[in-house]
Amino acid sequence: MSDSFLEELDDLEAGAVAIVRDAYRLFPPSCVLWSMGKDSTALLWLMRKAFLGAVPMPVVQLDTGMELPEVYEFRDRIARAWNLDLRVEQCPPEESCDPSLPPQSRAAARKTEGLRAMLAREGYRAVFVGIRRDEQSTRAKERVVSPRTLDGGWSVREQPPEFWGYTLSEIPHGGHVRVHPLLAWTELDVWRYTRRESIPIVPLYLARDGMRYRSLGEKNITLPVPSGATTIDAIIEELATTREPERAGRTMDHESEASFERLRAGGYM
Amino acid sequence: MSRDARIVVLGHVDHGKSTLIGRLLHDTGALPPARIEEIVASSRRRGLATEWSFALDALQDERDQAVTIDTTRVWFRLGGRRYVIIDAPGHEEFLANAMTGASDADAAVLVVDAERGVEDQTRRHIYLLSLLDVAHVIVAVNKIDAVSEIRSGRGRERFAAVAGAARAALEAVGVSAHAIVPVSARDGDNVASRSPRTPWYDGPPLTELLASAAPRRESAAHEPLRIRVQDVYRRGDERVAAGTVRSGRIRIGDELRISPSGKTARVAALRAWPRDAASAGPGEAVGVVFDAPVYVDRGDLLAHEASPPPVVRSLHVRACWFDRDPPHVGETLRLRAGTADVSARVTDVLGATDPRTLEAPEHGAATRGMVYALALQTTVPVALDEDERCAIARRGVPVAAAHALTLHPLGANLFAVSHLVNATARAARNGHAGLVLWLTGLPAAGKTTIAMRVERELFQRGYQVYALDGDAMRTGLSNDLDFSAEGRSENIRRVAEVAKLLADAGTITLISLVSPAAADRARARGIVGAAFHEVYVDASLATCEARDPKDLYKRARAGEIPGFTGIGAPYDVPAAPDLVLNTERNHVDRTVADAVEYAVRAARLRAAPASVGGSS
Repeated sequence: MSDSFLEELDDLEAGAVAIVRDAYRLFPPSCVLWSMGKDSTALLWLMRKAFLGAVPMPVVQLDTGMELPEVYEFRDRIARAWNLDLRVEQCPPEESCDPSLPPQSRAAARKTEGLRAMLAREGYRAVFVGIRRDEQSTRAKERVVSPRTLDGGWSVREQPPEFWGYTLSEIPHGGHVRVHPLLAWTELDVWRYTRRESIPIVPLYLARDGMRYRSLGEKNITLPVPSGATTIDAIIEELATTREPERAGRTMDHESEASFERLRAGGYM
Repeated sequence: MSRDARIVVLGHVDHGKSTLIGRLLHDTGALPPARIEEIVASSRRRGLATEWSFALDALQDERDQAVTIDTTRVWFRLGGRRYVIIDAPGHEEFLANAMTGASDADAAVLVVDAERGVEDQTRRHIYLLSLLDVAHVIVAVNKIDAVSEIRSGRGRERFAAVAGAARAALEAVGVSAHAIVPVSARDGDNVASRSPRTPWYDGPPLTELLASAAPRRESAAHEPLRIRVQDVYRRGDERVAAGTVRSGRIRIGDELRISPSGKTARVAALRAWPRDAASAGPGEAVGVVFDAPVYVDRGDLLAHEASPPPVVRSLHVRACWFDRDPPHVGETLRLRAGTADVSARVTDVLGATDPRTLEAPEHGAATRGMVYALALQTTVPVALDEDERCAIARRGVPVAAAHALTLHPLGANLFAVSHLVNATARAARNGHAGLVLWLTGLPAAGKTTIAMRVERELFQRGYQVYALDGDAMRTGLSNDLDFSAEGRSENIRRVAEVAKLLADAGTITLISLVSPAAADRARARGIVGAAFHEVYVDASLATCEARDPKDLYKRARAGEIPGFTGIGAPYDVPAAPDLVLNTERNHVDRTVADAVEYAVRAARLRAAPASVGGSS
């Protein structure tokens, strides 16, 4: 690992810490979404950096009951070790979702509904989410502080300007903001940071029998991809050369070019 | 030279920005095969040839209208280095989105259509580049394939003409072009490799030009320390001021000034997790713990005691406006400088510039993208540096990117508040004017005794009156001051300010204060103005020392009170007092009567004759 990568990670870390501190102060009360994936776990780690060891807000898992067993095991272990205020939010059943959505997008729609119900009940003004611009092309257009309407909708055409670190500082009446501290990070950045900081990960990310999960979603809609990467070092090496997108194993992204945009406009992460 | 090079691609709508980026991604192998298939399929569905801009334009509307609406970012690798390409929309309406994309760029590619040349939005974007101080600018003259007889002299001529116009437009705002390259985004000419179709161009292709773009040099380490406080965390008894170092370096033991309050304290610890730090430099997030319980909160600016920032309530800014609604004189906005976020009134619109013409905008021109020079007045003091990058916000939404231009440090340009009730009206109701009788003299000369008697006498006659003992101020308003020369002088200034307020409110104000220095009394007169009357309470040192009701002279002689007026420090006898009350030769009743008579006459004189009532 060269020094330049270290410096790059320092920049990214400080930037994310600054975003977390600002939004936590400006928009109380807030919560953070945790999928137990590498990104939102790194986000929790960054919060411990920002708040000197503790995560001072509820950590919410939007649960469809369909995660892999290793993921639930990881959740309970880390929640204890990091003393997290874990709130498991049960998402409504599939039947309650928009039937016109492609079948593979319905888990995402369930999470969207679960999130909406929780926001209405708990009144959170800021929801911290570990999405990144390089994951998906509509996420590339996101803001660090992104306003949502009362029903959680995202209006991509009416986004506030962000420049020189200035973001939205007031919440539209009745709405909330999504806060994205990792927006400028790439998949490779997250892995390098995870390695540098020794952040724990769900073991499914590492290859077993020539297959590994590159992105963790529900067990019925996420597939492992062929890989020989049995360590984080090997994953980093693999990513330096691969041309396959990260979410290749996520079937929901491929059904129609606009399905993800529709999901996001409706309030998905 | 550590992080990604961030390159923003700008230019007029339809000049081919997104197409150029899509082509760049394709030619550098950044697009995965599945993504290329998707682009080809998506283009075919819309009846188009392969449209490389679809790699960027992810939104359905963007693909259908073939226009970039919002800024987006893509990553690619070139010669082992990583680049972030920021696609900024060219359409006028989305200028704020272009700013969002361009604000942290290290370099810019300005795309200009070979046939259409420099257009309005090209000029706007050029201005944006100067505002953002982007050093490394590459001009890509696009659609060179569309120029007829591209290989011949006509291609070369067209390129030279557009290149010249672009260079001139850049130089007009002080930006110089690093290179100008003819490209065809559609066909790939001079993007990743030299094109045989442009034999008259002998420079490098675009990718090579990008490779020479260096991340912006950070000189912030050598500038004065600046940390904007984001929040304060309580950990047990400890308070931690959290913030990010903008410039300079902070170390444990440093003496810091907290602006705008001006309080100072030393750095006792720099908290971080999992380990504390001993020092921190630009870009680092810190948690500052002070050695004393000072008040600090979000928006405060931490600096070294030796190099504090200006503190202002009045300033000029240059603001690039993104909102449809222009700034209005009298309007109250929010001025944001880092985490400081204060209410600011627009006191004047000093000028407006249209970046397309560099002249004043035509009547009725759209507000968006105009650059305004504004005079602002903040409701509370704010600490900020000259040229600091600020934002102007309405209802929490940033509507303009602003630089602080001219700062008027506090006190230099405060505006008087206009009362709707004036001194004449007050005097008419009270039957007399307000004034200040400033009783000066040696300790034990009789100042306070006289003042209290005069107060009772005037009160019984129906006057608005108040006696203020200068030393009593020290238990309240001046309890932060010591008895050094500076401390005494400052106490006198404060007493004068309070006396002025009381007199303005219509009260006959009796001040008893040794105030030994003629200079301090002159300053008090300057503060109060025409209502000030210097009253010398005259008694010799020997007499005063003999009276000594509080044993102060005795203790001073014993050396217990250093700098005691008359013993260890001089008393400047007033050269031309308005009234002298000699307490050595006259009985106290006589001096009180003299003072009352003087006060009544002065209060009547000061009021308009017609409005004096029969109060005595």
